[in-house]
Amino acid sequence: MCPSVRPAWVSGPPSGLGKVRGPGEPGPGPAARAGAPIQVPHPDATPSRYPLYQAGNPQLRIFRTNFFIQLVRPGSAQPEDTVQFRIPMEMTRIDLKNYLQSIYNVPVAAVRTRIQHGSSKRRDHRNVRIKQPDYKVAYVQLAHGQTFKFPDLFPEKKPSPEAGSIDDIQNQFMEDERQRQKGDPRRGGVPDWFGL
Amino acid sequence: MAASIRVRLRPGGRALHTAAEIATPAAEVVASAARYPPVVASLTAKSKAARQRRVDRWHQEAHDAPSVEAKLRVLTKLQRLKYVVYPQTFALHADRWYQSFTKTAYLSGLPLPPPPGPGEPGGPADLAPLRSAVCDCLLQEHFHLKRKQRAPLYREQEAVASPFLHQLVASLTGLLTPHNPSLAAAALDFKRPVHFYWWRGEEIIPKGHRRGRVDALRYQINDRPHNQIRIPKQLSEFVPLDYSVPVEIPVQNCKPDKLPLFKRQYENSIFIGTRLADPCCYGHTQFHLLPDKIKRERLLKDNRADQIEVGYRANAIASLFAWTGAQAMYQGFWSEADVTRPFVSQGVVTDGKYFAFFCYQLNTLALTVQADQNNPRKNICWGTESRPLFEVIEDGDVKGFNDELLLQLVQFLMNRPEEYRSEVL
Repeated sequence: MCPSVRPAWVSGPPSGLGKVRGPGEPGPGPAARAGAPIQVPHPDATPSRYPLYQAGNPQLRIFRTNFFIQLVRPGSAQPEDTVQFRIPMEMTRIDLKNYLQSIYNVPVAAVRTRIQHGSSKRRDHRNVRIKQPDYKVAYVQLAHGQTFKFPDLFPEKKPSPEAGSIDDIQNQFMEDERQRQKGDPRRGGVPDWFGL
Repeated sequence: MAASIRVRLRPGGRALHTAAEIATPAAEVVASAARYPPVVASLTAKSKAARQRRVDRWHQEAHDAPSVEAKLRVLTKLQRLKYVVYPQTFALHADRWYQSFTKTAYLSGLPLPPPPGPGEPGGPADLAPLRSAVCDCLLQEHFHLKRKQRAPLYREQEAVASPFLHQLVASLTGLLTPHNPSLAAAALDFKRPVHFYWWRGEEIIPKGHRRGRVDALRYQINDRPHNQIRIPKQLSEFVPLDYSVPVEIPVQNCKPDKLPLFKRQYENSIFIGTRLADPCCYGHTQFHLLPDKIKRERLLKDNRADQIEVGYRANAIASLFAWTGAQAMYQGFWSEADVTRPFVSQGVVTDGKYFAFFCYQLNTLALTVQADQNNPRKNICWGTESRPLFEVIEDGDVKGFNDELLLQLVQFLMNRPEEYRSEVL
């Protein structure tokens, strides 16, 4: 029998890892630990929880945060001082206030957040449900009477080609053709085949 | 021959002519006896005409109500989701929103003349007893009373400022009653509820079984002023009923939900502090104590220094509108039967140290879309900035006492209806 295959009814960790310890038992000393590979978390990974604060600890300061936020256009009309963001689910309103004030020097008066449920209704060709991700939306009200209006990113602009380019010559040619095809203007739009 | 030609050219003409002759007197007789039902819109159809007919029927029922109680019941019977407006709010720019909800124009500065000093006509005879009474109230709460424990977190106002304000109002009212006969007949309430329910604006319902239909926006204020004085006769108006205010009422481009304001469905109540049968059914002055949530220090810490005055104004506009509106509805006025005389009340908003004074005149209750179409009247609120009553209290002494504020407070309490002006007790 192959040594790597274990019967399904065998419980416990695979044999290579070593002895299973209970919750209260002391672990092996540093010498014993040196033999096994150490799991070091990646420094850029967002911690699942901040380090616990106890009275007397220094103020927690984070210099390069892993939070990234998006400024979005509001779906419904908002007051002039309200800016809408999509923020990571783990970020709180206090985090967002400190983020905007420290990094971008934006004075923030109030923040309100909500979690938008992503739809789980769509199904693919195998009838398996497709989940759109949930996201957190924050409404930030600016302080000191400042206002913000989301800019129009795609304004309506008629394409006017510059003089001398191929598009311009082409447009000019088409205009001339159309002029040639038109009938005598003195007939007032009446076709040629009509005549008394 | 002529007769036959006439008959041939117009066959049946004679028959018609004679038939018409017979028919007209018969028709007149028949028309006077027959009554056809009037051609009106349906009552249950999903159409604008049907909705208008239902609304008109409801309005007619309110007009025909035999008593004010029945009228209020007809108007507030139907419960639907409504916005709950809190007068004491920490929301930003709440005073502008509340102005648009209540059609109120805000003017800074009071419509009264500058408060007369002691000894002048209309002023208090002597300021010293009043000042000493106020200082006693202050020292009692801030210095003399030795409390076993500090007030719980964020409950300082109700532990310290609330008993001070109550004592202040009671003592000042008592000291000024000999000089103001209307105060002698007044009723002083402590933390009585004041409720008001009204409609303003319309929207298309976005979701639900009534989707796509036009629906009025409903608002409710449930307020508990710290103290209020009610009198049996209405205070005299500050400006005429149809006074055109030069200031514009702010208009918001978005739904009230963005304030933020939330909807709830519960009893629609209209209440001035007592029931309908009470003779003291007109308002004189309300006193409000701002909660800890909108304390000055907290707002300064949160980058909201410009919202300090907003809190005072929003509280005054909402509370005084609710009180005067409820007073008007107690007299039988409502949005389709607009007020024929202005309802006037005064208000003092404080946080224990800073006082702001407000006067409110209700000129119109017609705030629904239907009633507001040709309504040039606006409600008016006059107000002052908040000023401190004292600088600091230390060593059993009140330092920097502001006499002008006390004179303004005395002027408010001495305000009386027209009939009492000539009377002097």
